[in-house]
Amino acid sequence: MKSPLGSQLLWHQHTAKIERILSMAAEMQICEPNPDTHPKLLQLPEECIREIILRLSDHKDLTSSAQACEQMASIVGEQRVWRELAKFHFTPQQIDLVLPKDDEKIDWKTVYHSLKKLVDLINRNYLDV
Amino acid sequence: MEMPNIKLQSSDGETFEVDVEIAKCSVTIKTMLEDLGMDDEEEEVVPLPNVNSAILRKVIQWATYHKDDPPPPEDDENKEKRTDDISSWDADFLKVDQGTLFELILAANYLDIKGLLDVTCKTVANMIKGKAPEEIRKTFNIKNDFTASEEEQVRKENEWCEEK
Repeated sequence: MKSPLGSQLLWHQHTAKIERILSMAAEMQICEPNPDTHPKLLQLPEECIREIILRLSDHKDLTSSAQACEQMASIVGEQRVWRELAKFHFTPQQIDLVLPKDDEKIDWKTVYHSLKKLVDLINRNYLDV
Repeated sequence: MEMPNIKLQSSDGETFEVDVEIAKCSVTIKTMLEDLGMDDEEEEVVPLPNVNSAILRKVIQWATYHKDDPPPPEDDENKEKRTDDISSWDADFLKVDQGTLFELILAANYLDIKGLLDVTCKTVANMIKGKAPEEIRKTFNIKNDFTASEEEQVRKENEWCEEK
């Protein structure tokens, strides 16, 4: 039988692959911990929760954590979190580009996002050439 | 030559005999030994009122496996912190329930064991990665304590970052 979609074998392989991915996705689920589990994340001292937050390298994970509850929101709101994130992703030379020139107070969240936009823009232009 | 041992006593009264050098990966214990001028020859018992025997046993297991690791860098803002490389031994070691994982974080924090704090916090950070706020709450049994208007406020505060 002729198939308008090219090789039947390939097509079957694709279908099998999609089915495999779908079944893997279906098996993935978030297991809620036993409600009696002790201690819980928010029962840790703030310094420990901060240590966890400081190990997130994607700002989207920081944003989602901040939206989960007040305590995480307050830690994600700290300057230190964004300063360290900026220093992790960008070189001191890049950071110098966007730091406020005069005595203006540095807001590291703004610095991080300005840098991200700047570097994205440079990369995009470079790829277009 | 055999390394001298010291005894560590957990909060529930169990004592563990450990090589001094292994015990000293805990800055807290190291400082205690130096401050108290504890003699290696003597049979000293170091009380650890904040760590129970189940957790202390795991901490000693971890410290024993990692006894020959190079000391962690002093720099508090070091870059390795954010990479998610967890050795397969550590990953296996940390296949525990959340309660145990958090107790290990508490113990690593109290005993001041940088390497253990690092790998346990990375493990929790990995559980956050890629999740939506509601999924994070579900994962850690967190109650949404925002009022509707606060939630909107936080969402807006974070929205501007995503604009192109």
